[in-house]
Amino acid sequence: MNPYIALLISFALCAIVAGIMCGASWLLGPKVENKAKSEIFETGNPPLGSIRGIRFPVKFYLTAILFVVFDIEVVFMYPWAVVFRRLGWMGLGEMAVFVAVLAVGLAYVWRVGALEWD
Amino acid sequence: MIEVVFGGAELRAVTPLLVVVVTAMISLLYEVFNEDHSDPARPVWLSLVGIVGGIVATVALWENGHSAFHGTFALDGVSAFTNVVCLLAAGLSLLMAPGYLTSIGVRAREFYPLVLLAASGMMVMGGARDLIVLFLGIEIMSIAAYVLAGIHRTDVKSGEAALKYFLLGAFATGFLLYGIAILYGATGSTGYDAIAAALPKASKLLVLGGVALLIVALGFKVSAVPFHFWAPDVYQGAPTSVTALMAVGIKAAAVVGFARLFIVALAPLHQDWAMVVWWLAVLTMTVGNVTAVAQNNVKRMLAYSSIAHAGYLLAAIVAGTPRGGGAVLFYLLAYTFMNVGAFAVVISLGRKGEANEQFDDYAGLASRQPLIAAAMVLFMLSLTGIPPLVGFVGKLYLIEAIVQAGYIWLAVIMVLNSAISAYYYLRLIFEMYMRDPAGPASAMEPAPLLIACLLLATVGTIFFGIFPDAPLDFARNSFLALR
Amino acid sequence: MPTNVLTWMIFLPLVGAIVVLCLPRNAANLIRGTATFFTIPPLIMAVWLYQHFDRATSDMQFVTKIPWIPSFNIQYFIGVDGISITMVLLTALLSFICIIASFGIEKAMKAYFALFLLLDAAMMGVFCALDFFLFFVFWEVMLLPMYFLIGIWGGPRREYAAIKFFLYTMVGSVLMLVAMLALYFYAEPHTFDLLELASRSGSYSTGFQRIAWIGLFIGFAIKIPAFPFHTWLPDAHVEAPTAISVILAGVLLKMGTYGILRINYPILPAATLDFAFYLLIALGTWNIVYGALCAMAQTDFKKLIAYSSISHMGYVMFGMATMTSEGINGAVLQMFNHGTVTAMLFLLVGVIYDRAHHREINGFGGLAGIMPFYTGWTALAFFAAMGLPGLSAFISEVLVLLGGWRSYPALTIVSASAVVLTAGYMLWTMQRIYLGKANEKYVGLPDINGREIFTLVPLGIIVVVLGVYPRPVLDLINASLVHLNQVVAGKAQVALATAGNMVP
Repeated sequence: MNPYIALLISFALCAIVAGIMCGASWLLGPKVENKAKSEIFETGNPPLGSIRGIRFPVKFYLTAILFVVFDIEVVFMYPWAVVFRRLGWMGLGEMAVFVAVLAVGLAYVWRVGALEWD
Repeated sequence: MIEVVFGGAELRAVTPLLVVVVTAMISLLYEVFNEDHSDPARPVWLSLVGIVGGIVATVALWENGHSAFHGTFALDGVSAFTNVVCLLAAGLSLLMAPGYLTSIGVRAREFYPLVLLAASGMMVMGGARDLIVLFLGIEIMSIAAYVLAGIHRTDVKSGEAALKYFLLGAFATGFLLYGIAILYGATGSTGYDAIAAALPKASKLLVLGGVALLIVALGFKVSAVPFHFWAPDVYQGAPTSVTALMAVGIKAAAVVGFARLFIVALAPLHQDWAMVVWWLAVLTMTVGNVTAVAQNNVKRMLAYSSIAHAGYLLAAIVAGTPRGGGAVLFYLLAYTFMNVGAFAVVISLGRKGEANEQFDDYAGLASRQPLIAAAMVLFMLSLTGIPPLVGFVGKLYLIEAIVQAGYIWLAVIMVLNSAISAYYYLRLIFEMYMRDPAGPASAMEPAPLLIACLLLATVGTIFFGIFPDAPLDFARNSFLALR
Repeated sequence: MPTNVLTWMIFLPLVGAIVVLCLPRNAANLIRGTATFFTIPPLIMAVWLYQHFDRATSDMQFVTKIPWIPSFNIQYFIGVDGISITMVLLTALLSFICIIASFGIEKAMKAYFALFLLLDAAMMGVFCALDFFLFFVFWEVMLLPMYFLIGIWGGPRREYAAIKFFLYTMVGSVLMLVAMLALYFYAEPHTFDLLELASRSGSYSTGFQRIAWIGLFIGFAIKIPAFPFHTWLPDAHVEAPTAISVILAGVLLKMGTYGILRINYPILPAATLDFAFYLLIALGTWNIVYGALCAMAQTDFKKLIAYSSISHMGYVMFGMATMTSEGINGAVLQMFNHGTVTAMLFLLVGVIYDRAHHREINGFGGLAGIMPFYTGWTALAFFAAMGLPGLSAFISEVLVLLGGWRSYPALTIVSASAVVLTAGYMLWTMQRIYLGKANEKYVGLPDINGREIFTLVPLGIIVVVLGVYPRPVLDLINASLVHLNQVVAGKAQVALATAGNMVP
């Protein structure tokens, strides 16, 4: 039997569970339509304008992109950790180089002030 | 135990790269940890150490037939030549940068390490003997280049250039990966030698599909028509020193990547791809030249001319012979000197707040800046292909390879194209020498480093025009050694 | 000196160009003197060359051969034989004369003289080169100074004329480049050596020869200029300053016909025989008649001379095409004679233009009374150009027509009758400018001055002496041309015979 069948089943289960959750709440939940509820933002205040006009400070993007960068790099460590012993000293050395490069990046990010919120 | 291969061959292959990358990182850290930014030329020196170190390491360590990392990467003659050309291009762009960046108000010191990182990407592309490594090289180079294109943050055009370059670059990457995947599916390998060996038995349909996607992707990178639409805007919008790097270094790396892939890995399919690349080359040179005739901005004219030159280079790839590959390499060296020189002249005319990039701004330059005008004449003539300048020998070598492979018509189209190109190169000479200046222009002394850059470019343009033998032989032999 | 004399002749002017560039900008006389100084040694060497040239052999003489770009098998290979020696002499003489004729240049004179010397070096190189690559390099190097000399120091429409000149020549030379590479690859082992290429000419197939011949011919025909590639010439001549017109007509035009004799004839004999019999002879005749007719219609003095050049170059093509020893000898002699005669004509136009600042033929009248010496010189030059017996052009034109008579009687009659047209427009011009009632405006014009006479005297002497006694030049060229003629005819026969045998 194809070993990937298990993976396919897992995907299918995910889809089914998610579908059931969304579908059930849509089916079972009470729905009361009124004017206040169809407003775009339910805080009690009347809406001031289009939702597309809302702006985030660029700081959020910066933080997000930094997070993504360093987060993704960590992904490389998982497969490395799995075969860590079999790679031997060479593997350790290569990961050290990798981390060192990341450290240079971190030092740079820190010195240019990208980590400070204000 | 999984054996991690890292022996002498590997160390040898990566040493030039290491020199460049480590210098880039040191330079990056040094610039952020050192508060004293009074001398704008200081980061140049450190970066130049990396450039020179990279060249020295390459020259000392290259070896024909070399191969490392299970044959995926090599420091053979071809990649050594590419390394030297790309590092030269990077070095010359660094030389022209400090005064220029100050004058347009860019204080980003990341410029210098980014140039080095872009150069390291080019070096990876030059030595790639595996599609995955080629992809890695393209990405390392391109990501640095995207940032460089937009480094003039307050300038709208620079931002536009960066975004356009990024979007189309990402697009091209998609094609590249898809092509690699299909080729892998068809041949079961991403290594060039293995692909070449597996091609006869592979499914023709799949292979051709993959090759077509690769042509599209690399066509984007070398700005071949019809994948060239980004080039003029990006070249014009990016800061000029970056444009020089893009027009010369990035093009060189992409063309070498193209040449190695097609001449080595896809050699058995030469019959099939030659016709496609033939048309690509003809379209590229013709559209590039004809459009360049209509330009009024010198930077844009140079952008279209660089498209045309990509066409000449592709034409030599059509030949599909080691001779063609050698011709490509030599032409890249020639192109580095003359084109970087032209961009250096463009930079030297810029003033604070005004770029002076229009043809009209060059009117009467001969009387205001006789030496710079004379240098520009030299570069323009070399780009046209007038002997005894390096551009002529380069073009001759290209045509020689094309004629030898039997593509006479391609050669005829190419020489007619260089006759067209004479028109717009001459137009600039005409502006400089035969028109009176439009207004009183302040005579500004170019920065010393810029003068050094111009001098190097001039010497290269003349010297290798008269004594082209050494690099010519080297280029030819290094491609012959690939077989 | 003997072995390197040609190298010196080529590179001394180049050294001169660099020296001139290093002089201070304002030292006008120093610049003029230096430029003149660097054209004198080549002239002396030319005289030496003339004395020591072995007239009995058709081999290359004063040969220098050094490898230059070994990976392409390119050599620095120079030498002269009977075909090129006259051109080398002419170039040395005219360069010297034109430098002196350029003393009136005021604008950016440093650049002018430097470019002029560069042009001089390149012209010399073209005539001496025996390696096709080297030939091409010099051919192209010539383009640039010419472009600047017309474009910066020329008349009102100089830009147009300069760029037209450049683009025409460029198109021609790129075709030449492809043909050159085709020859290179066709020869085994690959070589650019013109003598080597010629010695293997028997092995080139006729079809290949024809294609290569056409490619080369277009390149040369633009330079001659042969109809229909001639339109750049009147523009260039009208706009160029006097000395440059002299060089253009005196030397540059000859490069076209020289190239055909040096390259097309010995290397592609079969195609030469084919094309000479219809293309070359037809174009030659057409050039003669068409040039003369156009000249007749001109009202601009200089344009008239320009069209007369087209007509006279037609005789060269005609003579070459006859493939007889008289014809070819006449053609090469005509190249030399036209160089001297037309140089005089342009110098004389320059004289009047410097004084009156226009060249309208109808705007003058009665100059004979105002400038008698000038008129005398003009009469000599005009009569020479008309081919009056006793002056040099007569001999060469008669030789050409004699040669033509044996092969093409009908076309020879047409060409010969064009002499009447030439006489017509020359005399008519003479009448309008020099005779008749004196134009009030020009009554006070000074006559020709010493410097101008100095430039005309050597040319005048040559015109008269060669008209009476052409042996000095004919002896120089004869051996090589007879050999060339035999080679072309002989090789072409062989090639045609083998081609014939190959057909089953």
